[in-house]
Amino acid sequence: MDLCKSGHSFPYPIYPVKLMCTGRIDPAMVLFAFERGAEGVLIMGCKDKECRYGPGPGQAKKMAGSVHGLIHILGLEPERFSTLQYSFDEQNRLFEEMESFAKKVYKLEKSPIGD
Amino acid sequence: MDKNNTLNQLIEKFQVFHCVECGKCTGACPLAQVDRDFSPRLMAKYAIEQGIDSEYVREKAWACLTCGLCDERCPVGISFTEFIRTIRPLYAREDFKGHLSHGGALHGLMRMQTAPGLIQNRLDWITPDLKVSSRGEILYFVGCLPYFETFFSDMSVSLVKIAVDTVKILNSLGIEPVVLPDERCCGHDLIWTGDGESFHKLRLFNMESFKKAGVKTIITACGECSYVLKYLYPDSSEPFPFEVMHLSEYLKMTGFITGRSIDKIATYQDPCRLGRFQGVYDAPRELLGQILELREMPHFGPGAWCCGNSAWLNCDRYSKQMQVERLLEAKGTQADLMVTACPKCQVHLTCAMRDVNRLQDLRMKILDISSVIAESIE
Repeated sequence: MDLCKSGHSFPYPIYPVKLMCTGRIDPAMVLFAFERGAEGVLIMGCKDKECRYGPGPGQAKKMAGSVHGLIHILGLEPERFSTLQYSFDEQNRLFEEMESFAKKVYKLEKSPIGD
Repeated sequence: MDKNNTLNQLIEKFQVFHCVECGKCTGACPLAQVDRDFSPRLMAKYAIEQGIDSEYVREKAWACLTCGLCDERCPVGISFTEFIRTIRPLYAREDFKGHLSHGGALHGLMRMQTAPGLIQNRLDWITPDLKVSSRGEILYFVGCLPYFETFFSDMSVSLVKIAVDTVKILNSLGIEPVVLPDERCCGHDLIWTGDGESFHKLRLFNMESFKKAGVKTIITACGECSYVLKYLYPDSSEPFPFEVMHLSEYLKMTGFITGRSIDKIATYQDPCRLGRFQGVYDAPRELLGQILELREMPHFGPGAWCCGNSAWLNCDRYSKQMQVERLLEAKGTQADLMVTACPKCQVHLTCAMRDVNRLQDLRMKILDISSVIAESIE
């Protein structure tokens, strides 16, 4: 992703974690992020039909459903976790979506989880 | 902390020195039968001879199922499972802390419940027909069932059904149990994976909640929760203000009479934490025996085989092999279903049935005892 090179600065503190495919993400990773103090977790990846490996986005979608359920029981607001699919040519939209997600999250009170 | 010193103190405390190297522990151990490298006898020996630096102990201490079959057979009364539980914290903070299965997700969920400001939504399973209360003398401790239900939603097992059926049974006795909206995990899987700190936080929360609600009796439908609340929550420095029972114990104590019989044959899987750890073998059998025909597996009662996994550690080919052996024993009884009294046994054995190479010869219905009893009183 070339957002860094484009000179955009992001107005909210974010911690990017790079992976080769969202299909690799499991609930443990998302929960760990919350445990370590993340106010919100946003998963961004390729669209269903554009996965170079094949099943990645579908896998991520299923996993996200599970995480939504777990977060609900934990009592965390649903806005804290979201997923986003994009194509390689949608970089500008990506930035807007990220900002909109962060804005929603930072409107909430501080997460009860995490030091 | 001088770990070697602590290890030596634990060796003293659990009398590991008394080991006569008879090897009965290893002979009884289900893990040793599938993993020839694993030996409780050698762990005891190397803990004494090599101390905290023993690579063997450091590695194998995490592989142990803590099922207690070794304790059952040891002629000199070494409590090997307790020894394992208490030495794990010595290794827990190192990089190698056992293989937490599912990436450590379940442990994460449990640790997160130590957060003071947490306000959970854990009562969604309570439908209007279930009568529960927020204050009272009898508490139904649900445990992590709501979390497991979501986590394992892709498996054909309903864990929250245990909670629903338990409340139905208690309601039929005229009891509206307290079900706490702020219940926290009992901490079993944390204290058994070396995280005593989180365990104690959970314990404090729960004890406070129980006291605030006016609880005197705690009933749970989980073998592990009942063991933890009964044996690991009490603090020797003060009297424990609650009476803890597994559902089967409570029903036996109150002389509960089950309803109609069910025309099925069942085999009963003794959960380690209910059977060997608490000596509760008869209560579940007496209740089930009134409802359906019970047939025992070759390893039953005090000799019952573990469901192959403990505290969400090391789910590997050895677990699978043990689970397959256990399921084959169950199938061998020609029973229509397996009944157990712990959601862990239910989850682990159901998971093993998904082995794509053995789809038909392992498939078997597994129900919790609460579901069987609830069906009989419908």
